[in-house]
Amino acid sequence: MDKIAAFIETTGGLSALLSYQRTYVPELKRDTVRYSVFSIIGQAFRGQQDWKPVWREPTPKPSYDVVIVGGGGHGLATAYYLAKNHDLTNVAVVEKSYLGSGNVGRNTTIIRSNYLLPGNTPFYEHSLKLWEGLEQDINYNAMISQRGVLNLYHSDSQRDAYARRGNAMLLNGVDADLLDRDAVRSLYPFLDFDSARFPIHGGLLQKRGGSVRHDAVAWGYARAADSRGVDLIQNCEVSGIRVVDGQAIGVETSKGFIGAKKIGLAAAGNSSRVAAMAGLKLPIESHVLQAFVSEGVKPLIPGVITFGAGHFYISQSNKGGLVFGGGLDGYNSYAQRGNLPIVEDVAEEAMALMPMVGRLRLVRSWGGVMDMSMDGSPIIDRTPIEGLYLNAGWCYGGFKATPASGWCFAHTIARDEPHALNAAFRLDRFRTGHLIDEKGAGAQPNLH
Amino acid sequence: MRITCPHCGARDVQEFVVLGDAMPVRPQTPVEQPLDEATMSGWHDYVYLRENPAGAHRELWYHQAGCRQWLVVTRDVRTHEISGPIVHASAQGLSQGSSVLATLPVSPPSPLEGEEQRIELPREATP
Repeated sequence: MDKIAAFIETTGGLSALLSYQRTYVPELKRDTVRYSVFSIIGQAFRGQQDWKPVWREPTPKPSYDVVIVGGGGHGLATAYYLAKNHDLTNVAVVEKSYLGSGNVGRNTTIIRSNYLLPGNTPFYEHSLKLWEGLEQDINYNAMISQRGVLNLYHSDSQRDAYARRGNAMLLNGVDADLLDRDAVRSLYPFLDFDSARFPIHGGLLQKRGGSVRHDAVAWGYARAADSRGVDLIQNCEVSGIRVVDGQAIGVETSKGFIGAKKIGLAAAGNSSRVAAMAGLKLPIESHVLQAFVSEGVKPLIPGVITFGAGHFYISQSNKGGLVFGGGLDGYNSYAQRGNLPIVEDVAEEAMALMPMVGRLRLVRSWGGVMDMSMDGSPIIDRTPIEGLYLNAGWCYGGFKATPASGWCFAHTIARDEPHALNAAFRLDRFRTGHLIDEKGAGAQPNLH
Repeated sequence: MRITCPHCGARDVQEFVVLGDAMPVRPQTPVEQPLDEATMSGWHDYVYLRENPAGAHRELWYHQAGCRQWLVVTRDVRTHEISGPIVHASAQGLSQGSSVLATLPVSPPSPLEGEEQRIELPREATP
């Protein structure tokens, strides 16, 4: 016994154990009551009937310090970080449907921080770092899996562009590996390397990228925010924003008026509609993006692969289905479904990349409504209306940004000024010319 | 989705290229006018701001694999349903339609011809 104690002392194990207790035990204690070996065994004999809801369903109070419009990933993360980082717990999240009913449950679950431009790279890297600690932070299994994201290149010029991107990432402290053809072949031998039209020359690999169980992110943030006192109000659609003398004072909802000292809009997909309630016109168009899942198969694709000659990305879910998607349908849309030409296009790209998927059956396809901004980058900023804050324009890169988006938006709301990480995501950057056009496509949202 | 081109008939959407909202009005700024704040503001609104309605949306489509004309299509963006007449943008004589067109090469064989069409377009207001 003495030997063990001495061992712990010499290795510093005891102090580590103590600091672990200080950090995590309050959270663990709560959940031990909820989920333990005994509760699982006990429930087995009671027909699983006695599980308690993991968050409350409160009726809205007459007013809050902060009201977040939109109960998706970004809105819930914002509420969580308001409570955790800024001690603001008199907060409500209002959601027109159920929590996580929008794009947080519709994306292809990829996380990465392989961005090129200065305003973007540090922000997305911060997001990836938050992902890396998220499960411990909110004590929720979000199945974060850093299985690597590989962007393929198919020509010498594309190799140069990826080398530049990789170098920009390294300069920002992000990991990046430029792989040649043989290195890609050792990772993914099944790709069509000798395709006549788009031969694979290599790829840019970010090993720390990967995938996350997307719904669990919404649920985890929801539970963590709720346990810190945030009111999550579902089936509560905002129909108006009350502004008096240039100051936002609350929202009209299907459950009545809710007063607020500050209002944060996190309703990507519908940002233009919500902002219009306060008289704002945004540099955003709504477009539909489709995603697809195949029947489940045995482990096949260990990481995430993107096709460099088109717009196509594929990975395998933990259930075995291949999850993949392509580009936008291209026209403005608020319908959460797309049309067949993109289905055909995506299938063609899949075949060009890895012909072995040709016999797989498609199980489902669906669509989400994207806030397509005019330069392909998001907006996290104050607005010309006092007390009204905007989180919008995520195009189709919003999922990976969820933690940092909430983190920065909470900072912007609480401190009334942007954090250095989101300082470039200004609403007025289109007026001043400080665009962040990662793709260089110009003011044509459907091309970003 | 099919679009009934007034010239070619009902055609698959793959024959068309969409540009987007037909409503923004291009500011009529003479070249020699200095760029004051109001002028810049007008350009900002024209280039970047969109109504983005969840309902009827008037938009420009280009019939690339057909008559190569710009069309003004009114489409409900919640259902993708097209309603009302579809007209050639040049025939409509829309200031907004033709003004958006004026920023684009209209399938020009050469830049010079594109320039000529730019000048011609607003004048072709009568069908």
